[in-house]
Amino acid sequence: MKKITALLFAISFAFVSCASLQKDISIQAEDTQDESFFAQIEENLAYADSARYCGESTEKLEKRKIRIFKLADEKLKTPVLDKVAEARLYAIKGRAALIARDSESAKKYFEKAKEKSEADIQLLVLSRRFGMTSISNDITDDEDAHKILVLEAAIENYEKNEYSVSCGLFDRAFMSLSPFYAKAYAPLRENAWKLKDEEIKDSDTKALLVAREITISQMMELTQNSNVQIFKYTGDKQLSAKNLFKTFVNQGLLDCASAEVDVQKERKTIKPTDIATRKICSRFLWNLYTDQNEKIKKTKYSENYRNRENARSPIEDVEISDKDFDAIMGSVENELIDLVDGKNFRGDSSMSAIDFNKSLKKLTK
Amino acid sequence: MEQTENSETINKTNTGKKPNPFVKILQIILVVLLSLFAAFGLWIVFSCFNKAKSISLYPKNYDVFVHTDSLYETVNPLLDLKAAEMVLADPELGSARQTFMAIKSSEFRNSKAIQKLLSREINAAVYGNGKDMNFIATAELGILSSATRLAPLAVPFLNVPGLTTRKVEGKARNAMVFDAGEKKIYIKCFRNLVFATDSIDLLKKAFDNYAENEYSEEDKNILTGKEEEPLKITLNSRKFAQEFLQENPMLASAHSMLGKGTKSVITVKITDEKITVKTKLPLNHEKSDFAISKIFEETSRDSNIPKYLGESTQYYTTLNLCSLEKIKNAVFEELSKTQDVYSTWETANKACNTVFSLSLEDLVFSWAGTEIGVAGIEGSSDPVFILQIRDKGKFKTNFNKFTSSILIKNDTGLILNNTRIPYIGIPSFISGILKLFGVNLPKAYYNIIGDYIYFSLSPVNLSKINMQLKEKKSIHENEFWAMTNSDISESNSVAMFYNLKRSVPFFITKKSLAGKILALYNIGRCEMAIRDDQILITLNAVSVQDNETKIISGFPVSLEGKNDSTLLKSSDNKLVYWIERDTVLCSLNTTTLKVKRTPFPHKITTAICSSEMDNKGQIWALTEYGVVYLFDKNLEMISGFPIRTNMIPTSPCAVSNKELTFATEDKIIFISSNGKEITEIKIDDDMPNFKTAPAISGKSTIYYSRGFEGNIYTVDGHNLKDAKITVDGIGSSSPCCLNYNNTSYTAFVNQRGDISIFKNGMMAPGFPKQLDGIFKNRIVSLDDSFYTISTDGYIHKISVDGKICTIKLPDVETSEEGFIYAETDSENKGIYVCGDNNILYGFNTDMEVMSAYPINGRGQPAFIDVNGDNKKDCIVLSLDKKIYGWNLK
Repeated sequence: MKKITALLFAISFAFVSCASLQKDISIQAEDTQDESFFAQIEENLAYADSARYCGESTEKLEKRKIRIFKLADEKLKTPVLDKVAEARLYAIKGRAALIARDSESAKKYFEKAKEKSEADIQLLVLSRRFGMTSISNDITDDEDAHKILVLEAAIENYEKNEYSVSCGLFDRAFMSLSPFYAKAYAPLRENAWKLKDEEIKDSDTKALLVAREITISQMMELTQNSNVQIFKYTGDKQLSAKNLFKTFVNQGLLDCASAEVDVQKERKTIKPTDIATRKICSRFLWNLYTDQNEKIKKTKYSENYRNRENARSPIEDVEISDKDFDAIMGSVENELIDLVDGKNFRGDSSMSAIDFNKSLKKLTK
Repeated sequence: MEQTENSETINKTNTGKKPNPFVKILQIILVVLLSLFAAFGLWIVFSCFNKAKSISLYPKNYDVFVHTDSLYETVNPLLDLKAAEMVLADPELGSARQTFMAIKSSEFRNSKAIQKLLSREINAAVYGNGKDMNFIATAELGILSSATRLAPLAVPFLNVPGLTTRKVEGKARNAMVFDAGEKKIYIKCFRNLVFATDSIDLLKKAFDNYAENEYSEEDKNILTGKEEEPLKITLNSRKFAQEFLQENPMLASAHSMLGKGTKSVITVKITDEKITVKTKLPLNHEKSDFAISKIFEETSRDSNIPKYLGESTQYYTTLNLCSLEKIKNAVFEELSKTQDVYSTWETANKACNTVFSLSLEDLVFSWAGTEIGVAGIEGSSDPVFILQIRDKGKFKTNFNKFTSSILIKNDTGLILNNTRIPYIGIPSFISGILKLFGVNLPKAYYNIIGDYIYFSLSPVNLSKINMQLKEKKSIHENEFWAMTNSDISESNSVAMFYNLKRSVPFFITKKSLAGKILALYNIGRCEMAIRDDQILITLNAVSVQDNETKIISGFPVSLEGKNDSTLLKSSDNKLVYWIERDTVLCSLNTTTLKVKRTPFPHKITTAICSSEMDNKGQIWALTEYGVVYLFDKNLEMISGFPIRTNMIPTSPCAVSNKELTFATEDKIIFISSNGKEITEIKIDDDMPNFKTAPAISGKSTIYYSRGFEGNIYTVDGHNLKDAKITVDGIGSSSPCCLNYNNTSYTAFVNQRGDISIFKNGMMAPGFPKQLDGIFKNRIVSLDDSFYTISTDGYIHKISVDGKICTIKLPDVETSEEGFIYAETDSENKGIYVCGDNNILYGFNTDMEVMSAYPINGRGQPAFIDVNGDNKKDCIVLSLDKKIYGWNLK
């Protein structure tokens, strides 16, 4: 019945104009209008966009904008240019301006693009960036949704700290988009991947968690913010970074387990701003672990190995005589920290915040 | 002597006449059987000849009449429709979906007997509308009616729930009544027919007024006459149009152009590949209130515009109704009811006279033919407008006068692909008129080819058409256009060709379900012709789908939180299970698409499926505090559970011989499926370190104690084997077992890539071997090989005979948190792998990527036939908090 009505409508509307019977779909400019040109300009745009999210300086972003503008302006000079292509170019200029934090110009180009074709995909992205629209679940659930919109949904979820969703959408978009998108947005997607299992409460935590290395003080803060039981050290008080460092050091959480050393002297050499190397992290985690499991002797590995004839350390770059031998062995055997290549520990290299946070989670298991 | 002879005779006679009682009984049975056969035969013959015409049971005041000659032919293709899947994807319709899928996947569907049984003529009619809507339906049973005729006698003895008989006043006398909840269905077996209705009044009316000749032959032909399409719908279109269009001020009177009291016929054929709808609407001979009806007075002529379009045409609409002037007059008359269009025209006309010394009529109508059109060209969003030139002489004179005016910007300098494409600025008074018609054309390039003038904002479009026509590449070369060519006549008044990738016809909106269904048929042609006082509309649409793996309708299903990337499936292949937010065990019924969530008070360390046990238990769950749960497939708790073991598990659990097993700090635990027996096996070694789930091989359970000097413990039944295997180097996963050629193999790989394969407990020849890379993922087995993935994304296949094959997982840099799973079911047998991403790859045992992959998703998939096509689909969880169902191609 509805079909008949639809057809009746067809006849009726046909009187008014045949132009009203069909609505154009904004087709891909790159499909037909110099594919390589649009690929080039969109590649520049993708790298600039990703750089902005990764905190590149305004100066550098301005340079990227200028490069994009130059490309777009040259193309706009073409005497015969389809209005979809024009809309795309203005929208790209708008996006580039917004990346360089020039929202005034961005708005101007947004309007220009809108005049040419309201349905252009880059224009939709630009309107999302202006906060005018949001990419709904309906769009991302549609298998045939434009992959640029899926990518934009990934970025939107990244902004909302929904990293797991963001990661899923990034990967879905990359399956169909030109490979340069995956390369350009790799840092963003990598962050999303790292943070996918984390609950981010504020931007400071987010900034800390994406850090490639952390200081000892940050290591302790992450511990205080985690679910690890530290009641016995802090009395369940939320301590300042300074006090937390002092408390943890005084409670022996950074003491070496495997060697007879002057504890007080050793403690004085540790500074809160020192980088928390994998070795220090393992020392800290092993002390927390053995404090939680009193049955486990802090020196169980060194005692076992040192009593053997011709004993050889199972970890190639850690000697049995190492003052952190027990901490490293214990951390590895209890899955708190992995060997980097199945053979070596690389104790002097740094540990990323996210990896340390994962270790803390294993500690609470 | 005589006496002797007589006695012999008597004896002989007695001997010959002596009846054999067994034969006699047989004879009687035979006679009875023959009589019954004869009666049965007569009954069948009677049933064949004692017929009623179903149409005569339908009171004439129906609103819609539906007819099919073969229910099977109509319904069977509908079962394969993606559209049907789409409609039933709503979880509210879960039970209907379940039934639909069961029928769709049923083997009986293609049985000859079922085909024969369902190849019946079915009629149905709807009376009234809204809440007062009732129906009548009849099925013609033919020879089968010999059984149904006896139904009223059998019903009292059948004891069917809800089915009774009752008396009915009038000629119907009695009927069976089926209580269907809110409604009662009255059923009556009448001669060769089964009659059903939901209204007692209609039942009485049908039988009281039953008369063979109530419908004329012409009416019968309209309602039930043979058509090419299997489904025929007859309705009072005028009544229907009136109700439907009454709220649209402009179209409110449009119904009056349709013949009063006449019936419109729609025939429909729907398959998954094609949809054909043909409609006949009788026109009104009397004066219509709808001014626009005037343009429907002329019989359709051949429309030639498509012949003048190139192969790159993506869509078009053409009109060939009557002269432009007549269209203008009719439209203006209708538009004038709501806006002052005449003054706009007059103003424009005056301006035109002043500037060009020409009236608008002379400027436009004096030369224009009846054909107008608009077309879209591949690669451009600017449409091309086409007008037929009827009088070339007048066109030349008037057009030259127009373009030579100093007020008109006319530039002829552009030459594209050797074609001069002139440019013309359209004066505002003309563009104002065009806007009334919905055309925005402030300026235009134009070109003349044959008897047609083309206008467009894009000169490239005009050049393309010109070139393609020169190269004889007209629209006939367009493969999509050709697909929709059948049953479409060139003689038409309105024609439309669409390709949903490029244009959307007004009757398709993807927001509505109907729109989504129509959108499945993405290439279409719709034609309207006027012939024999009828409007004939034909819609021919085809579904052109890429042969790619697609998401099944109803998916993706949204989850409420993060998932554990592992899908388990029930033993009947109907449900899948996963853990959400660590504390919720969820199930999805793949036939109804309903999700059930069972929250736990603590973290679930593992959920695992086993084959159904005597107490119906199937899903085990173990919490971080050692509480063991057992559920049936519908996540209903089995009695006797949960069990609080008061032991903290250190490893995930597994199912061994229908028992749940897990490890604690120094024990291996087994829990029986009735929940009554808990077996604890103490490990006497110094602090074993069980972190990974055990491997199961027949009756053996194999645990790995993690350490630089790790140990593999084997428990046969509940007996710990004395000989443990010590393995060098720390490993991240459990060992893995396989049985091949009646030999048991166990493989273990440590982080640095040393792989050991133990054959019947002893190191196999040639092992341990060294694999390149770091290994933190588990090792799985399939056929005669083990498979694992390194952290840099290399998949290694290690055969028990020592052969190693390595390939790189495409598009993957790292696989620190990768996933590998082996599916043993023959239909989807293979290795399924993810790197550190949300992309699932499937490999066959030769390590080739299967054609349906990669797909979006992550973790352990489950293979279940979700859409009833008797092919297993891939269900997989995803990082974007969804569960996807993929129809694998």
